[in-house]
Amino acid sequence: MNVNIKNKFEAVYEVESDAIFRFCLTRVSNREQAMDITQETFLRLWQSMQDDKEILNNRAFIFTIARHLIIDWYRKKKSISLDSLAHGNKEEEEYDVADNKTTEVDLFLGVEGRHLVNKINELSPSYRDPVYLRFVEDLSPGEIGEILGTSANTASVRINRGIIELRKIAGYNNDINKK
Amino acid sequence: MIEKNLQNGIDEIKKVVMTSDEKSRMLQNILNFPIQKTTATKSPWSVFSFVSFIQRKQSFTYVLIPVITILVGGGIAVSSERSLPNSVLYPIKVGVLEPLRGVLTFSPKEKALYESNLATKRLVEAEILQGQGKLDVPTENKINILLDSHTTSLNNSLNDINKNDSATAKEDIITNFHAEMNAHAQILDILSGNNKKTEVNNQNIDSEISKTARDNANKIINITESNEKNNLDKYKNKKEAVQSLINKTATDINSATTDGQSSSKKPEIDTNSNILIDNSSQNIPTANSNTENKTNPIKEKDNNINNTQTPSPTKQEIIYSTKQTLDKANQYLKEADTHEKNGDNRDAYSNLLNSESSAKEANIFLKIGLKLEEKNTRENRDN
Repeated sequence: MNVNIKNKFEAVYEVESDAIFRFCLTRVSNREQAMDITQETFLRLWQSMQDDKEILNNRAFIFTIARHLIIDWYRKKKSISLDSLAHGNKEEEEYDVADNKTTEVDLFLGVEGRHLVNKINELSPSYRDPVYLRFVEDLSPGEIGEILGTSANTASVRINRGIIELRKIAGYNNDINKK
Repeated sequence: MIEKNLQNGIDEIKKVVMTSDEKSRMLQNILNFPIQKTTATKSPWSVFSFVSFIQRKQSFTYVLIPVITILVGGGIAVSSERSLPNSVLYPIKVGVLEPLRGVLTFSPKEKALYESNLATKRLVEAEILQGQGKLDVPTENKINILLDSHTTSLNNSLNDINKNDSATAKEDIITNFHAEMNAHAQILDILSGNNKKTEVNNQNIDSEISKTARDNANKIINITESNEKNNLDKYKNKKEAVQSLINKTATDINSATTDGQSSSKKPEIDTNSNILIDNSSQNIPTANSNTENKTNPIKEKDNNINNTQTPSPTKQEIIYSTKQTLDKANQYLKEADTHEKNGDNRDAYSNLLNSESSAKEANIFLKIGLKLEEKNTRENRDN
């Protein structure tokens, strides 16, 4: 095993693992599931490093993977729920966590954090990730654009419109300057 | 600045982290995960796949692209090199490749030689097309324009040649050009006559290209006349060379005339040509000395050869025209001698150059003409 690659990976893991975990948890609202997705995300980064693939921005790369895994997870969950509706299998109803608002993330957050997460999740899908990544994870519009597969300008527009919408639905003071 | 509530919410979200146990366990899981090198399943046909080979060795692409470019470009260049004026690739040949090569010839002498060769090439192309019966008026015009262009370039290059340094080379280029132009013009006339006789009541119609060739040859000859030398040694050497060429051509004519006879039969003109080499130009056999009637080549042929095999009319015409040109060469040589005896070295040399040009013309015409005749005979026999 290449020691340099391992050191590099460990450094990235140390800095970014919590952010990825947080991102996953706010999306899937299930700690175990968030950890699985986080592990899968870093495993893919590790594989890519092992294969000597060129990664220009590690942060954008792992957020992109995490976002795709979450989307995959939602698709999978949706198909299972439909399946369970068809067969009346009660065991599979536990996957429908987010819809039931019984989010585990609420257990780890204070009142304002919980409120913010809920309101971010209420945002329209095109604003949800840009706002979260910009204000919670401090990613630049360029990085967000890379993750979303859009240009930095588009990401910037979504961030601005998203924060306006968030202020509106969350009841934050609109008179205070934006970030 | 972000409002306080929002900032508090963000801070609370940021506090959501994995425990150190979870983090280290996850890291160990990842690092201990058996990584399988992601290699695509090899297709059994991949051995035969060129694309697969390129995909495997991307560096090969950098080699492949220039190679393909060179091959395609080279292929076009080679194909256009053999193209004729009625071909699609011909403009590439005359518009790109030949001027490009012309740019790469640096000395005026080389340039003149190159342009002279190109002019000859144009006539050869015209001959090929004429032989195939594909020489139409637009193509003739195209070749005429190119011939004029080559002659102008040749003229310019000849003017650039330093008179003192390369006088002999310059004279050689001019006499060769003159000979080539006139010889090919004659060939074109024969071909044109063969084609058109059948169409227009057996009337001989000269090709437009042959006229252009002769005109261009005359343009260059005018330049020669002002560039002659009065060097006696040079005159003698050149005279010997011209005599030798005349004798050789005369021998060739005799060989061509006696072609088909039994090998035991000694060619008549060989004896004469031996005398020629030893004696002065006054003893040079002329076409008249070998023929009873200049205007009747068939009768002349009958007198020379007691053979059952009669040459074709084309061959007779070629031999007759060659003898006439050779006569002209002899005539110029005699005039040169006369001028030399009178001490008029300038005129003597001028006539000698004319003689040389005519001798070369006869030689070229005979060679090409006989080849052409052979080809026609072979084709007729095959058909």
